[in-house]
Amino acid sequence: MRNNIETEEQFAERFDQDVQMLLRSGGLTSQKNIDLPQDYQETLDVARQLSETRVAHLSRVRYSLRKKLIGPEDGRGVWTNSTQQGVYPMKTSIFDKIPFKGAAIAVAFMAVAIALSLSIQPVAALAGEILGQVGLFTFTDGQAIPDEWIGQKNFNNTGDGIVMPVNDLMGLSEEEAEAQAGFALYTPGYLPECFTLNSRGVLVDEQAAPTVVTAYLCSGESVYDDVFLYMHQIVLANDPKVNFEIGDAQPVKVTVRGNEGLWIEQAPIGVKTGRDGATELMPVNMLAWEEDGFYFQMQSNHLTKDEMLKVAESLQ
Amino acid sequence: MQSDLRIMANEIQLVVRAQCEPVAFAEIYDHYFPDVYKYVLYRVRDPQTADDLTAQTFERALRDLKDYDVKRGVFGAWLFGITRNVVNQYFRRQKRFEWLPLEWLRSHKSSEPGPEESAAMNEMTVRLLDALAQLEERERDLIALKFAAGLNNRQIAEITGLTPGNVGVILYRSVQRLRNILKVEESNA
Repeated sequence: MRNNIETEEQFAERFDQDVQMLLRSGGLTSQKNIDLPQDYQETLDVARQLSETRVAHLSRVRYSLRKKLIGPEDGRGVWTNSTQQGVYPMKTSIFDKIPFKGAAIAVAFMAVAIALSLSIQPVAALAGEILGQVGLFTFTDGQAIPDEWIGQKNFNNTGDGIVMPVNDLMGLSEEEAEAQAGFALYTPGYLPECFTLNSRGVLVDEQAAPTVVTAYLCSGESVYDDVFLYMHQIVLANDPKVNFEIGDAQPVKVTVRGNEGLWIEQAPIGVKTGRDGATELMPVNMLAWEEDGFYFQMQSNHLTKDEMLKVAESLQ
Repeated sequence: MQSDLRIMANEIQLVVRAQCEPVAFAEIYDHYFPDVYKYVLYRVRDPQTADDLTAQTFERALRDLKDYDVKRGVFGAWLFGITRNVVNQYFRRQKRFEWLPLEWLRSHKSSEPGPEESAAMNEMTVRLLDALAQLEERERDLIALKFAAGLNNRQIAEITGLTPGNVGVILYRSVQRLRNILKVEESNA
């Protein structure tokens, strides 16, 4: 047989036949053809290992996902055909509707927003003027975005030079986020037209209480046209106080869900990457209030006060 | 060429039933979960990420099940087409997501398996996944389509856009490369 197999194509064909047999037998065939070269035999051994390896036990979602998809008691009483397209009414996977083109700008914005919004320091020690307060959370006129960040290209290599994928951090389901954060999430019953859930993550800071960050995105014609809405839900701790630096923006008192809150328009706390690859300052509209032992903050690059209030009012 | 997908005996009937009745999907899920998860894990290396992407795959499959036409091919090939798209999207997305602030870094969970996961994996599986991670994306894809999904070269060719002949040769080379990586790792151990 060896004489008939000389070229790589012939070895590949023989390999395919052997692998097919291997797969059909569930990896049980162990017969070796001694006429074939040693390296071929070794390659087939690796193929056998690839075939025989069982990994499903490593999954942590196998049974919870089944329940989520099928419902309790194998779906009886859960399924409905009443939706327009006959779609099974399950919770949307956080990645299922991600408008990918919006991710870069959204993350860039979020990175700065989160990095700064959790700056924790005693209010007395703040150099800037206090512009407004929501309970323990203080807004000052400090500069959130360092001048040297603006106009730079390859922003990801500036500052702390952090390069890492975000997926592991932001890829949480509602249940996973609640489990990690240790509290139940408020989720909006209303989102402005075109917005979908983008991603969700839990920020665990050594000094601060856990924060759940949920991102919603309305994808535009290009990444530069995307509109996003971030919602931070932070469990209130006794201390320390938290400072947000919002530059020249002026907080305005508003009532949110019956609580006193602040509306801050065009706070210079975001950055985005422009078409030339350089970073630009991105003013952000913010709504902040305390309720039920939590501090809530919404941030968006374009949503208006009325729209954000409507989302806030729909939280449940 | 015969497919090596582990097709259920009553698969067509189950799929047709599942299009209007979720109970039937439970059987499909139970049957295909191990292979879908294995396909994803072979490509992404990290069990937690594999969980996320497997979940997306089945959610999408259930959502789009009404569009599946039994005349257009076996269900498994359709399902693994979805799986592959989900993983490809994941890799594309990863290339877009580039940086995060320190606060996120602090809370970052390593993509390497933790002690608990490592204990669940036997040493050979860890070595195999480590070696797979050193291959090119396309090589991992073909290996996963063959050894996790159980597709034949013609089915793989339909999904990947390659010719069946090319699939065979690339697959052979890929497993050879994997063998070489494993040998080097073994000699270094």
